[in-house]
Amino acid sequence: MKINLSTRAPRLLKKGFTLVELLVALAVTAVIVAMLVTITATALDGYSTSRNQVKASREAKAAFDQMARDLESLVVRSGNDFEWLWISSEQSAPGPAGNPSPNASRAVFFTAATDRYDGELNTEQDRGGDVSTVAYRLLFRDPIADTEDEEFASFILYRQLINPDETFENLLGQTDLESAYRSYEANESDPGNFVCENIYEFSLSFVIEYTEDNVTRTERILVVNSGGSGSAEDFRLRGNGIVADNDSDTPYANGRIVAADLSLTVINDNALEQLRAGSLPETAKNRILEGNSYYFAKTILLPQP
Amino acid sequence: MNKHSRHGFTLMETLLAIAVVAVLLTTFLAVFGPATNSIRRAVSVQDADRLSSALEKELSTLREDESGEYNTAFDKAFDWISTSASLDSAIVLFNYRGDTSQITDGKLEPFLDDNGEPGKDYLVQSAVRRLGGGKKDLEQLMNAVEGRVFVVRMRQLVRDNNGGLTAAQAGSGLVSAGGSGASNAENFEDAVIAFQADFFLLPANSFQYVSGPLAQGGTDFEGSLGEPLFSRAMAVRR
Repeated sequence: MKINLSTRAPRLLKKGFTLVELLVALAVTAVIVAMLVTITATALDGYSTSRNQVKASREAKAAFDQMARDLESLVVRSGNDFEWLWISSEQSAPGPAGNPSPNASRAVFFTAATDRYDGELNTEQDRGGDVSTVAYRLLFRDPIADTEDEEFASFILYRQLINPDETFENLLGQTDLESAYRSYEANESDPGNFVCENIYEFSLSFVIEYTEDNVTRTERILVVNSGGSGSAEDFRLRGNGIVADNDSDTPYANGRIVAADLSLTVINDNALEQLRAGSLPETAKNRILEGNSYYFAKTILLPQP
Repeated sequence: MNKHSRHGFTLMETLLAIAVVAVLLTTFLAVFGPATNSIRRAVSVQDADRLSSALEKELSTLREDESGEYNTAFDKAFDWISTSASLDSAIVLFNYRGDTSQITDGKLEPFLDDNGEPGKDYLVQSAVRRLGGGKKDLEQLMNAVEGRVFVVRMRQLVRDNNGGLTAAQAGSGLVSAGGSGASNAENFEDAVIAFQADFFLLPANSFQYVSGPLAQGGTDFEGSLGEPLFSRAMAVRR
């Protein structure tokens, strides 16, 4: 060996590397590069997963916090036939062509919001009253330009607040809150009403306690388009009872609403991009959503009279 | 040295270089690993925080199937709080997929099909259950869990010597503000129970673990589940 090396050495120096040396060097480089690529890929993957998760969580928090504040100070006066709360599931759900949201609720109700008159209370802006109307709605829109341009549109949750003076004049004490509210619908998508984005599904359910034959029962009504006997597409609270799908004679009509449960599905930008791309087969769509959705739920206790 | 520079790197040098690279990568990973963990933890804290309102509601609701066991919701809250310091009767909190077409007693049955759309076929709902008691529905529910499961220990808040509130040690019964102990809600003098709820993260969403090894843990929450994610003071009233 030693003789070999010494006799070969001068030749090596002149002619460069041998094939074996090159191969070894290549192999070592390959191993190192492979390691680096794997580690970087894992790190990037972990980064984007975490970022999506945090973003979804933040969107859900924005929606829940706002709705919890409004629902916890819900205003209802009993002993009249006025409507105080109107929740319905959209008949034509928002979304890109071919891929609408599976369930989008809208809600209109009265509340003692502290951000009435832009929060300028007890100033010239404050025109009196403390019962405001709030309306929540999920729309598929471009939140900045306020257009339906699909290229920039996303699932946006809007909250419109109607100040106490207008509420008193046009919305309070109406037997049909829905039609009274219609004239305000056009302003819903004002960029200032933006709450959060990428909300793919937004559903509400109500827990109602009522007494039947001296037994306290609990009923849960889901405000969804599909579902069984415990669901309604249109849910209203009148001063003299609960009306579900225009039926004011349900066993729970005179019960009290104990709590509202909110469910949200937030999708990430990746899923949104794919939904925008056009109609997909049901299984493919479900698979994409499965991997890119984040689910949230919150129970909100409603004020008791 | 001269010979080295002409012949390229020796094996030792190459190994050394690889070792240095390996050390650098390990430090990088060691720095990055805890970051993702703490993000996951932070997100879990938000989840648990949302679920705490479901706990509050459950403690103030007497369900139809519980009316044989308790007279009022306060009886139930008293029982749950005074026994939740043991792992076999602690409270579990989680979100699950509820079937929109099957509702019994105000609760959605778990949705176990893999194929379904949120808002159409299932709705994500919060669930609050007490461990033990041979209730079958927890096993079903835990198959439809969405997200993490939290185990909650509730301990009564009592006045300490300085006039502040501290969480009482786990034991039987609760003590009223007047100082007299009570083993059930009827003997309890106060109208309000203040308590501290400690939220622990369940490492695996498995009913087998919850009903088996975990239930044998006695009162040692920290030993079985690690430090609590966070604690919160709450109250129930008559």
